[in-house]
Amino acid sequence: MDDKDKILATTNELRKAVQEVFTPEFNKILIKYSIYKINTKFNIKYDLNRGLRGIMVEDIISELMLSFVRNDGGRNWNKTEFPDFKDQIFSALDSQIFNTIEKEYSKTIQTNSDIEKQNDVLMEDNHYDELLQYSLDFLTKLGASDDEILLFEPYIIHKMKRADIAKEFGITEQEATNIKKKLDRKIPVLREQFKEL
Amino acid sequence: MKNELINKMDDYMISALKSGDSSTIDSFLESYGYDIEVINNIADKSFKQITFSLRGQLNSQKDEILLEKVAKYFQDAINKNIEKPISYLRNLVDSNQLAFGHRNLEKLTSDDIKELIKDHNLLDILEKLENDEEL
Repeated sequence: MDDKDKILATTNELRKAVQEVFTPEFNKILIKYSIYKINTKFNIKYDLNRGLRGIMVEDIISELMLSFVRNDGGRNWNKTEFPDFKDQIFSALDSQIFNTIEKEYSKTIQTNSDIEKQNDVLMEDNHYDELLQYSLDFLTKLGASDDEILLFEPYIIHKMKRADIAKEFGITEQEATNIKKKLDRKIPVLREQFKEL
Repeated sequence: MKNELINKMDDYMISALKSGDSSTIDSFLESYGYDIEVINNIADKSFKQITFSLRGQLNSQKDEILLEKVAKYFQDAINKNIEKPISYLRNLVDSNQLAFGHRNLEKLTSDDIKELIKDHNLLDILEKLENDEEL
């Protein structure tokens, strides 16, 4: 997309959006998102007391939010690419985290994509069906019910909507939500198990 | 393929978090040894600091806009020779003789006017002069 096609927010729109979006709950989400990204994308164990060599995620978020309301060359909101201002914040936060880590750890980091490249070579013989079966067996070991096993592939892998799942399996949306909640708790454990493979 | 599945699970957890459901990410963070209560406390504390800084930044911008508006109002009044604002400004110049001497009002620049009025209640000035104008 050409720059000329971009619709940028006016200063007033940006200020209003920052005030509307930045709530205590959203700040919690941003902090958890940052810690999650640092751990999973950059394989750095984030220390809640020491941060990233002294740089705390809460400071990164503070700097980011202020950059949206600063007059002198702060960040803008590209409404064409991110109609929802929250998505603009997540995208900007990704860059901010990347820049911080690149600056602080440039010689030592091994990002997930580096590791993925190595693992892809090692795991090229693994087929989807085998891995799916492995996931289902592992979830069973974790105590997943038949319903949770049934929902794993359409929900997590194929990202089917809750309403569609309910329709497909002849259950109510509430039942689908309850099954999903139980399954949700097992996904992080399964993810870590996959990394160990 | 293994990494594709890991990415799918990452996407799933991130999209749940973005939509406001943090339960899966909470489980993930707990499995990494984080205490969610500690993270929530850090978030609460930092929220107060960030909103304080944001408010300061937003207020200072509002003040700048208002200062610009009132200075422009006075400049227009000088150009149009409107009595009340000119008299108000004359009083300010007289009480700031050290900085402005007996300067002719027409020679005041926009920055001079801002300097004269910046420590006054700008909203009050604007309201008072606009009310006088309506009379």
